[in-house]
Amino acid sequence: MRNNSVKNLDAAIYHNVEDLFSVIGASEENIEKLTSAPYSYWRETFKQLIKKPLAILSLIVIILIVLFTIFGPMIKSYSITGTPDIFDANQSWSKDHWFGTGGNKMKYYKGLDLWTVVWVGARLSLILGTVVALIDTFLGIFIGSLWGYFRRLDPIMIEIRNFVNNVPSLLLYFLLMAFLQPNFWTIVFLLTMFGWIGLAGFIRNQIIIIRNRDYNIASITLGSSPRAMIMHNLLPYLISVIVTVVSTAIPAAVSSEVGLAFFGLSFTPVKGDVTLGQVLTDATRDEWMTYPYLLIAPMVVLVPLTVSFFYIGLVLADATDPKNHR
Amino acid sequence: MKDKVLEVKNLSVGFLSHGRKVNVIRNVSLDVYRGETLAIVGESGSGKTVFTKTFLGMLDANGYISSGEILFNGENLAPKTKHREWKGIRGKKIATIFQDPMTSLNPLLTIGYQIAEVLKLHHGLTMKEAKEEAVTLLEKVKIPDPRARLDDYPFQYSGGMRQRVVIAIALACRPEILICDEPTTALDVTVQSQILELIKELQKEYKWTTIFITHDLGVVANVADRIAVMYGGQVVEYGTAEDIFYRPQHPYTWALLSSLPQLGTKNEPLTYIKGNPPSFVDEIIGDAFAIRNDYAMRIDHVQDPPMFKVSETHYAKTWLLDPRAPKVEKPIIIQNLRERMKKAAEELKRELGDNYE
Amino acid sequence: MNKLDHQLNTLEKEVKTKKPGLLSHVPKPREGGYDPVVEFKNVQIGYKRGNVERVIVRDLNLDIIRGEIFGLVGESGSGKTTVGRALIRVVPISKGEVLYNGVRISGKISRALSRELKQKMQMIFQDPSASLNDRANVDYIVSEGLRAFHMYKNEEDRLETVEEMMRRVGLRPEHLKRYPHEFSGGQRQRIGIARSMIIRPEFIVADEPISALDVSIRAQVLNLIKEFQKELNMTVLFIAHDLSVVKYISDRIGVIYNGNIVELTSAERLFEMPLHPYTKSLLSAVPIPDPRVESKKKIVVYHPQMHQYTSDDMPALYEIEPGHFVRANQKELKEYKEVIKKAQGGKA
Repeated sequence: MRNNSVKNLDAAIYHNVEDLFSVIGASEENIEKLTSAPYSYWRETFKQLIKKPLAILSLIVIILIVLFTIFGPMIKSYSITGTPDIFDANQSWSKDHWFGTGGNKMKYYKGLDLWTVVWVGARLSLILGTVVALIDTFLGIFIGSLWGYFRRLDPIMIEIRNFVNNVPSLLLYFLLMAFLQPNFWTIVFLLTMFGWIGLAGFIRNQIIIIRNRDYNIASITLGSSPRAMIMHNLLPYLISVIVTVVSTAIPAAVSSEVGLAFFGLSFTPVKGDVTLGQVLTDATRDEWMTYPYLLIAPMVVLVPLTVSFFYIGLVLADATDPKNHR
Repeated sequence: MKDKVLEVKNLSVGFLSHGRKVNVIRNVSLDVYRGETLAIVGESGSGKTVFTKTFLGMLDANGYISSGEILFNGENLAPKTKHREWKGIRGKKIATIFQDPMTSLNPLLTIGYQIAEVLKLHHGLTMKEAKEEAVTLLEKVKIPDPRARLDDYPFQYSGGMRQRVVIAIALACRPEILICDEPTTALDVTVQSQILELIKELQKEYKWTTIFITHDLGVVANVADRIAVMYGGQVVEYGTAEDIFYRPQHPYTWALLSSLPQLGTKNEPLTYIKGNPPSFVDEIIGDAFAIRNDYAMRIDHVQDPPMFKVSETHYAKTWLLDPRAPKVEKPIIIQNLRERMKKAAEELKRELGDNYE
Repeated sequence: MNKLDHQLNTLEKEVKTKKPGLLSHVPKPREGGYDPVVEFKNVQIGYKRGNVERVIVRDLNLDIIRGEIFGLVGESGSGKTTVGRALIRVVPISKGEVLYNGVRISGKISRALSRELKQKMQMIFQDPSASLNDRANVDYIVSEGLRAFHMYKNEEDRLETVEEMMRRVGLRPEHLKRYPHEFSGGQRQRIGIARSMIIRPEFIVADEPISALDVSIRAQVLNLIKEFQKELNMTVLFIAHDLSVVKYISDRIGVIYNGNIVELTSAERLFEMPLHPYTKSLLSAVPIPDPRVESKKKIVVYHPQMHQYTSDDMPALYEIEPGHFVRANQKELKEYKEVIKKAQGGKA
């Protein structure tokens, strides 16, 4: 503690004893100075994020996968609908076909190059997953906010939530698909039907918790408009939640589509729509135990994708929480 | 009375914060005599709570004692790190009462159970015996109808009542040292005075040593035999209560005394201490109080003052006591403290009429 | 009541055409110069838990005089905070009405009136860590009112006003980019004061603004409130539980216990001639910073049962001498009158 005096002793040397012991009073200019570095929310969040090496790895994995969905099929661009690029079926991975070719018993992808098929499928799965996640999230936040703000909505919303939670969704999907054509937006509709209610309930609870906090009462007494309150008081508080939910909703939607595909409720591949779910389903139609590569091909993309998104969601939940910052 | 129950010698405590070492307690030496009430006074952020936490090994995970000793009845507490090394001391010989009565008690357990739990642990009583003793303890802390109270839950109680229960729990062990960490700061002023009275009475009866932490010098006048003033992780002045109130020497003590609202007069602005306590993140050069000190000298910015002796009981760590320093006057507001307070007391007696005394 | 509605209607039209608002019509002082800005008339505040109504404040009749600092003192649960929050309409009242400049501001009121009231009446909160939006920077926090009421010409003007206010409360313009958690409690309280004062209110409800601060920095906040009050000619309702602080800052003091005002008079008179036993217990609880005095002091504990009120002699608020009100029944009233006479006799 005392070694620092050495550099200040220079100052002392230039003053004689009288000077040193003269009263100079308080240092007004320095008194209210803040000594710490300025705080920035996103910078602190980023710092927390990069502390976890697995999170960085997950981010890299996701970026790589996204890049491959764009450029993968271009590397080996074979057709996915059949002619002209049909090859011998049941070939495992080889120089020409990095993921192998579709099996004999597969319904849609027999003899097709699996690399192309899988990456085109991944592309659609990702787009689908992201769209579903975004719709569910924004629906959830919008309705949840209204619900939290206007207590009169309570009786209606609680009934809706009970309905949504108790209805057997799978049966409903079958019912709906009997009437609807399976295209992009009907699938999206199916997947977003029930997903928003959980988030809406959570947001509503959060709003009820914070609406009576002093700083929100203060904003009201200062005359802030509802828009200003939502933008500056509520939303920043919810950013942590939003980011986490979107991160985990994407893989959840991708997995749900796999489930739909298994039940035959997903896209009709005949039209050229490929998803990871369909590739997987088709693989189960064949003898994947004998030809494991049939299953491995889509899994090699699906598993890292889902795990990485979930992990990022987990890490973001902590990183965006201001309590974990400095 | 001259027997020392606790001797702190050159204690320094640091914290590892975001990869940096932060020194929070800087070379503090202090003695605590058996049976006395020692008050540690300082603003929030002066380090007083961290200081007393070392007596129980309750520093946060990133805190450590970097040097010094803490001698409790001759035994050094500083090297103890594991929980089992503290067994028999924590709660039993040294007990603490914390500031926030709302969070000090377990909301899921009854009052009776929480007191009995401690008795079972430290005295080996059965639950039945412990509950009987709990009734006695609740009586001691003046909770009415104690037997019925055993089955109450903390949420049914006000802050003052909860604090009494906390005191009862601390009582249960008959500790040698009772640390009270701002026990009345969260309470209304009427409740505060009752709790202070209670602590005083209990100390007379049980003859333990009390260490009382607060930021309010006014409260201290009632309870303390000796006072230690802390600032920036150091003890800057200590002495008997009369030394500190009637003959304060350190400008920080002057500032603390001057800012008491009881001393304010209607038509003049009240005094306060400008600025904020130092954040320990930056290294402190010289006297920590210098930038806020109306009586600062150049040397305060250059070198940390040593402890000067004022009397056998009274020491202060300020360059103003150096023989080379100019003579300065205490702030006017505290110059005739004795007379003003005596007058105030007489007025009070008159106002309160026959209800008083 | 009809006349008031009519007044409100015509004045509302005025508001809509951006003429001076309902509340800017200041009624003339009444006889004797009596000029209340806020009036509580038979106000009861409570809330319902299922079917049971719990009353916090009962039958409150209180006037706050224009330009004064009125100290409302009581312990936790006495209702003092509730009174403040009812005044700025955060808490609804169940009976009676509250008037501001003679206009009813309690219950259902027009949006225009509500908005006007917000600009004229502001609150300073107790807890510095909860009363500022942690996710907004100081610039936004202090400008919030300015933006809401469009009280600036352009961005430059706004920034200048904000910087000036920061200096005024003892902070620096470079702090504007920072966030509340980077400041100490005292600094945060000053930011809270800055954001309330910047819209130049007429009335301030200060809800225990210094209870959460260290004693050594309380005076900075108190002095600021006093300065602003003088500068802006404001009326202040200062809520506290500590009489020593209230003595310094208030013109008049009202002591509240369990939802009732038990004593009300000027600050000097309250300390000269406290009558109600609860007031006396508050007085005795104030710590005196002198070890010899404190060791001899005995505290007075108040027990409401000591009154022994019977149903045929219930207490009410009486004016026992000009400007000095005390809650007592007939028996106590007589006793208090004796006490006053004796004191005056002694003086003479």
